[in-house]
Amino acid sequence: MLELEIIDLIIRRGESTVVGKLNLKVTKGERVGVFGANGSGKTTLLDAICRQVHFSAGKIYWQGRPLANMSTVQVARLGVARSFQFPQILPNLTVLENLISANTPISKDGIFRALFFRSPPEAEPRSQAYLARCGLGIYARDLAGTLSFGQRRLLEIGCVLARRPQLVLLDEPSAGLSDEAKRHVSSAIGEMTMKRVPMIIVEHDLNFLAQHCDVIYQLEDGQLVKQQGY
Amino acid sequence: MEYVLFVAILLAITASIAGSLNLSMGLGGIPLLGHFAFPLVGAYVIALSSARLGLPSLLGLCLAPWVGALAAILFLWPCSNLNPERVALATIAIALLMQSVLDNWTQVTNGPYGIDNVPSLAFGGSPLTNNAIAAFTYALLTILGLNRIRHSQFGRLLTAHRDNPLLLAFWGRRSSVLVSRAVLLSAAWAAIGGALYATFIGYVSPNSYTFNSLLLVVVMVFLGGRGTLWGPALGATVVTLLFEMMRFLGLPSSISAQIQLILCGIILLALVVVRPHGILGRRLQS
Repeated sequence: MLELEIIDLIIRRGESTVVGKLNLKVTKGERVGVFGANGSGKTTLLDAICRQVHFSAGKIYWQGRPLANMSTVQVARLGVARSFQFPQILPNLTVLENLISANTPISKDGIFRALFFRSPPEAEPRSQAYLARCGLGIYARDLAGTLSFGQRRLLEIGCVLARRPQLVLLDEPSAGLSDEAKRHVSSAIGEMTMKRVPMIIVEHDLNFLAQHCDVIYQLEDGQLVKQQGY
Repeated sequence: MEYVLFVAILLAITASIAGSLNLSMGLGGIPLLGHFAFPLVGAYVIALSSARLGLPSLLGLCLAPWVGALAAILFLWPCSNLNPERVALATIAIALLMQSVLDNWTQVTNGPYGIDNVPSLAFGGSPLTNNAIAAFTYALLTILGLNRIRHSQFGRLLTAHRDNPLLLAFWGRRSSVLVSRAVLLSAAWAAIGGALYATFIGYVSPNSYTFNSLLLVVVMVFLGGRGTLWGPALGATVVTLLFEMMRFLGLPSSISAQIQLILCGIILLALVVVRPHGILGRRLQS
């Protein structure tokens, strides 16, 4: 079943064309890997899906719905979750609070609930379990801003998982990580694979992509070129 | 004894108004520099309803937060902007406009002369006791409410808005909705403070809460530690006691007012250099 479809996507930045007439189809549970040189437009492609950048031409459909006129917030509410090249977390909340914040449904954001109800405790065991799995359990009550780069990456991916996503976009998830941290990232990807969540993984590390993706493309001159043998 | 109670009531009201600013500016990082308009609105609501219309002062106290929140609607558009300079300037401008309306709408507000004989809250006891009960209850509710908010999803998302608004969007949250809620609550709560102040002092004028008053509240919040539970209360205690001690120096009031402003400047400068996160605050992570 086709989930994400990108048709003739063109993104221009000033005079230069970053992405030119790009086409991509992602089906349910499919894991797509994209690699390419620095500045080849890998992150821009993810930004376009999240509606962080304006695209000059083309169409993007998610589960049959066009994303062109949607905002980042609307796309996120459709279940699109992403990680970033530089891990994005909430540095002044604890590690556990980061996960709980990502985990809690929007219906529980209100002031009335804040003033008159205690926070839902059910979010905590789930988050604690993830932290224990990725070795962050002992840091649960520490401020997320005190974590190392690799730990921040694991926390960020944990927040992506916590959102129960329908589509996951990972931007260089293994960059700068130790082997052990990479194993934790792999297990998180495995968890999403089990749930048949489609994924687009942008990476420099071809081996990492080969290990986790069903199909790999190289982004070259703004076009996706399918890599044979993967 | 009466003097101590008088200072304690003033302190409770001021600390709670600082608490309301702590919600928007401390937790949410919204530079709401027009915040001084909200206590002023609350003070005028109770003064007009009880001193002019003869309604019970308790009814005026109940009306104050609603009118405060209504006034805050004017602030929502600039506040939903993520550019802090614009938010700060636009909210000051709106607050000054509101102050100017109160200053010039003489038929209703009596202009710069203000409204006197604002009746004290009446629910049994002497006026001083009533005011003390109301002010201390208000302060207690401020602490309890702030504590609840800090540990709620709303509070966590407010912190997220302060630290990483882009991430909020990727989590499907609209910053504008979050900011609107924080500003409305902050305004309503500050309006109650203004109303309590008016019934306590018995008088309100456009100069009861000015930009200088806001500076004082900002000093309290930053001195104690913005975003912390007890920080604004501690900041308010230190500043209020410092100013009260100045009374014993026997200086003329015009000079002591100037010295108060100078002291505020010195405290702010010292904070920036020595302890930017305040006495109880922790260094913000980036």
